[in-house]
Amino acid sequence: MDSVPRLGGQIGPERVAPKAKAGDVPSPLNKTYVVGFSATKAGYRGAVLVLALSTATFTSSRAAFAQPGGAPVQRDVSDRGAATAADPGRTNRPTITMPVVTKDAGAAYPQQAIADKIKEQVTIDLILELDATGAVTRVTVDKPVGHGFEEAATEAAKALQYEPAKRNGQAIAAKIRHTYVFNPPASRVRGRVATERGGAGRESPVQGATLTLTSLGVVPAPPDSRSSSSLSPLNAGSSGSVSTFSATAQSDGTFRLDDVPAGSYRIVVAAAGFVPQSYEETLEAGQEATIDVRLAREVVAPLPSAKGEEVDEVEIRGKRPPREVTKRTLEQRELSRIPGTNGDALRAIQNLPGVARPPAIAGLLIVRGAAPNETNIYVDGTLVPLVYHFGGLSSVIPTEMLEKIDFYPGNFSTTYGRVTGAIVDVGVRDPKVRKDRGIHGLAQADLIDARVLAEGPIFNTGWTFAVAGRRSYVDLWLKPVLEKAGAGVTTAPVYYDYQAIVQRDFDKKNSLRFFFFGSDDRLSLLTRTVNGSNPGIGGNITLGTAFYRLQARYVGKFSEDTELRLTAAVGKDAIDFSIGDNFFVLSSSPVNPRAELSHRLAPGARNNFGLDILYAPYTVNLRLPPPPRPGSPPAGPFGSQPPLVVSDSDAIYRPGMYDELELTPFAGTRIVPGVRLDYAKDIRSWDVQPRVTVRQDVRREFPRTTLKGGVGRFAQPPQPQETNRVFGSPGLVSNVAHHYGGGFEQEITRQLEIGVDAFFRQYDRRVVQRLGNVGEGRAFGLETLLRYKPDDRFFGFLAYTLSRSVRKDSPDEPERLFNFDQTHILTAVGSYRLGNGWEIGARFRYISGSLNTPQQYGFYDATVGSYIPLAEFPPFGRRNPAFHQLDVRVDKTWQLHGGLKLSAYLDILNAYNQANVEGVSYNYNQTLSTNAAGIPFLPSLGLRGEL
Amino acid sequence: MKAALSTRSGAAARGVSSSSVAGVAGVARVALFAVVAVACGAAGFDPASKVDSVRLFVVKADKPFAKPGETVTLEGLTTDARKEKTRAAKLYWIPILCLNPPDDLYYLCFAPPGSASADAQAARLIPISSSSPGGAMASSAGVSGANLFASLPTGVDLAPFLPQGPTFAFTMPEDSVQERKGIPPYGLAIVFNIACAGRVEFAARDASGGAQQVPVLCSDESGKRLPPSDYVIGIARVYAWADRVNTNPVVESLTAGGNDVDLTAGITLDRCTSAKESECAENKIGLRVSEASWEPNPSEVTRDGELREQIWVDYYADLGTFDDEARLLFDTRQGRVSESDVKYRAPKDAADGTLWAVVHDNRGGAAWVSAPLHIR
Repeated sequence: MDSVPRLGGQIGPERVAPKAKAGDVPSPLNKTYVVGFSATKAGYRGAVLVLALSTATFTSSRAAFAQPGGAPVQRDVSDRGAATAADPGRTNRPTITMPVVTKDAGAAYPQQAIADKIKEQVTIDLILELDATGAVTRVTVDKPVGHGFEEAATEAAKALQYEPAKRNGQAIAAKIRHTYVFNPPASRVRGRVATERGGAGRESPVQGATLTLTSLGVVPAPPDSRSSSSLSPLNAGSSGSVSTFSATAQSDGTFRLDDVPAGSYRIVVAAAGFVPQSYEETLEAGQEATIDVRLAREVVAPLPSAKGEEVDEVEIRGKRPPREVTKRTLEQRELSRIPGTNGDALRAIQNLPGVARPPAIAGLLIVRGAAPNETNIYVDGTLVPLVYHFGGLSSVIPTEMLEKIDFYPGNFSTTYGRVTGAIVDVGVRDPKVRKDRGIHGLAQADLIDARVLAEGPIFNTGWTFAVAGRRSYVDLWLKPVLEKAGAGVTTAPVYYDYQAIVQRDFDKKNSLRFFFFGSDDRLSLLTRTVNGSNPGIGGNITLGTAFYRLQARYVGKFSEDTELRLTAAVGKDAIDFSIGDNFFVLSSSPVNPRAELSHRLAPGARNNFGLDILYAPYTVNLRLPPPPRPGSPPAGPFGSQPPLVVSDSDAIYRPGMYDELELTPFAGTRIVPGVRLDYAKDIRSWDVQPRVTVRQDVRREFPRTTLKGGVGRFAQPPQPQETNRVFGSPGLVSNVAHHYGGGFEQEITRQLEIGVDAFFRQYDRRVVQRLGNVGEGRAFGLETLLRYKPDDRFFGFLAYTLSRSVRKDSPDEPERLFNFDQTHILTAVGSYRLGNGWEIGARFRYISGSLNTPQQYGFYDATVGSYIPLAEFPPFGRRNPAFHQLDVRVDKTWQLHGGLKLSAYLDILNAYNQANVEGVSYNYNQTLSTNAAGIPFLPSLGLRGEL
Repeated sequence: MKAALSTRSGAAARGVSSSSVAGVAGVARVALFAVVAVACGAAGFDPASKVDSVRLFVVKADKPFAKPGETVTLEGLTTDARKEKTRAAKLYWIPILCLNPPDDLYYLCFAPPGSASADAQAARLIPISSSSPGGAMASSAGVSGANLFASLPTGVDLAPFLPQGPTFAFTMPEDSVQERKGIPPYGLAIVFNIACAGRVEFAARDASGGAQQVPVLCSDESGKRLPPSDYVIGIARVYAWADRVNTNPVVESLTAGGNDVDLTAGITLDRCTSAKESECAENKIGLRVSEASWEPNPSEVTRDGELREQIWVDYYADLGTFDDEARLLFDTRQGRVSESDVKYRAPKDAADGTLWAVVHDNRGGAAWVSAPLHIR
């Protein structure tokens, strides 16, 4: 074996030969040369040319490297017995001089390979035939690989110029092997690191923040290692097969990384005093990725200047982009400032596309033409029975406790199940810790309720806490009203809710949290008057609905690839309702453990496996009139039939499991196939639910364009009352709905974006109470959201939904409109900061009228003494006039000494006092009717203090 | 003021155990809303207590809970308060007993077989012979109601063939009591009647009109349907229990201004001389029902002890107006309700009329008193 020099330089993270030194002379024979070059094609560095020389009779497989400019280098040279001029033992043989390259323009990396997203290093071996002048007369590809590499190599080889091979000094033709090694052109990463937006919508650059890219596998070597940030130093290095790149943000928060090999990376953005962010990204060859990051402070910063206010961000997300079809984000400023909601985040959901307007007194979530009972509400993964006090006055968890709200209007992940409609998952935030490690407090009061919150560290234990509570004082003004109306009021309507959190992050990889929360609504009154239409609705009326949950959550990162999330909740639901001699008393103690193991299988492939178990022993005692048949008039006035009675103790057991893959085969492509398996003990039935969603970025850079779609099967077990031996039907199976969705997202400006979603939902074997799985239905529509993301002054959005939802209650019944069908739903929201702490906002809604069933003169129940209307068939055949309403909100904030912040708001519902029709009011025998108006002009004043 | 608001109960249900929570909350909202609506009045319509048309106030069964085989006598309370009485109003009884319609749905008594709303287990329709003693039925076998109604001709004045008058009797079939889910066995017999100031005809059925259709109509001599002011189609329910009893409430006295009213002499009041009705004098009218009327209401499942009946009173008058004309007398748990008097305002013109007070319990029992009204 010849002893040859090793020459070269550092080439990115890959092991390379040292640079050639001046004066080094390569052995002319049986050497393999590598020639590096910079391609002239824009956007990437060129391939590395490996030139192997041999004679027509002798070949070499040696490999060598050279730096751009052609200085030959060599590595791993081996001799397969070729005679050389340096071989003194073979003097009788002719002296042969190898061809020497004199002109080499290099090979361009093929565009087709870029388009095909080739990330691996590709080697093309060529056989070159040279004539006696050194010109290349024939090029043969040894092993074609496609993607344009052969063409690129052949074209480059034809332009090579050689000093011809010689035998005893005489130029001769030669046949040599020539190799091109193509490395994918490097990517570029640029972006900016800033703080989260404050209450004034302002953000600050985070100077010194580090951005670290760690390869999630072997990445090919870039052509050279001169990646740099124009604004900060850059380090690149490797450890084994894992490569890392880093950059530091400059004073304006910007950073830049050049020459990053294509591949999948874990990106970590960290800065002192901020919560680091980490996520995975796939960089495509020759492309530029933009990463804008906002970091949350680890501690509460002192309140900003008088012009601004510090408000944490809370997100409402349409769906998580990795696992769902669409994503919509509303920040907390939007949630807390949408007029007409009193700053209630959960009520803000009702403004999103696809969500219908509920009746005036009903706090229902009607999503994409689904019934309210098709939407499940979770708090950090734990199912809760109620989301609103008294059906809509306010939500059971105050906005101040929320971190985010994930809202999935359809095609949701296999993480969730047991419903055919939509999912709302409320994320509760971690307790804050002030810089001075003091207690952060908040108090707020309006005309409906008052709330307090305190949070901070628990001494120096490493634990943090947050406690909050709220009580309504509706009773203070409603009690006199009811008493004046002739009712005897024992307990005027009142509600409470409470929350307590203790949490500890043991390290950056393990977190443990206990969360106790609950809600309690009560009323008790005696009505001395009798409802003429339903004399049975009267007398003693009591209502108590309460629930609480104790939730424990553990999140552990076993490695960079594996994360375990455990959530377990125990609690109690209690209902005590009575009206006259009818009552419903339920006590249930649900246990709801969940677990999800998330593991990265390979770059661009992650698997999520989860268990989701619901066990709920219950006791129920009830005495109620038989429920009416769906779509059919009742048997008479309420209470005119002998009531049914049930006294049962049993348990609901519904285990579920799911497995879901998150695939990123190419940058900008996200495919999430999954399957969920649910079992319902009460119907002894399994439900297999395959689902898949796909997202494809047509353009990843600004302005981003994304196409998306999904299809899936969703099963919902019958409600307990539907399987009950008295109220329900035997032999039921789950309701089934198939969701089909598709759409696109388009950035228009940095602040303005639009999203369009089309959906179709097919209902099969829908349970119709007392009749069985005989129902059908479908819902379809188009949702559009044009959104101006919050900036220093303004935020707003325009949401429009066009939809239709129909049902059949049995195969023989005609198709009818779904009770809550609303054809047009238009919502426009905007809020503007005027300065000096003033902010004014407005919400305008134009929505198709809700449906009603016309009534006319019919029968008289001479036993009860009440007229029975003739209800038009099919039901819900008439639409009320369109609803339109303007709500206005004005906020004023004062920054006081000692960090105290005071704010006041005036939220005016129905500013121009539109008499929107909520129903039709009939006289006692239905011969006369008039429209019943909804909520009139209604101002609400609130005050808030925060320290 | 009686009024009905078409609302949706929003019987929302979420999750598993949550479904009932939301559903009950929905009922509670409707109940609360109904209370407020009643309290606040509704839409400015004339109240049910203002009588100015053909009215059927109540049908009382002498045995609200009959035993199989017992004869039940129904008695209807009617009036005709129309200003112009072109034809006399009479109370006609449809001599067909509808026994145990599916789910107690009265309108399935006449749903034709094969219709979407008809059940495999249809109601039994039993013709009642008016010649039988006490109006007892000729046979307990019965026939399909749908066939029976379908065989009746339309456009024919049935009034001459129908039993007339305030009372009607039938015998509860021996096999009327049947097993039910969630409740001890009972039977339900439904009798239809019509207070009509004209001809009574069977109405042609609309094939696409749904299950709830009116089987009879009241027309003039040319067959034209008369307006609602000229007729009332009544439904009377009588339950059959093997072991439960119910008696009608007993009215002890009618009071005006706290004093017992002589039901023959009636109530004499001054007419209202104020321009505004709201400024007219308020006269308290009350009704006293015996404590014994508040009967136990047996239930296999109880809450907070024994349940008893709920009893209320509806007031009517063909002169003057009432505030909150329907008042609770006994609550199912709290017993006798205080402040159950209503306020009556006399009309502006002197006249003579009638005041009716009809008492109901929530198990089908009823009673009434009436007294002349003299407005000076």
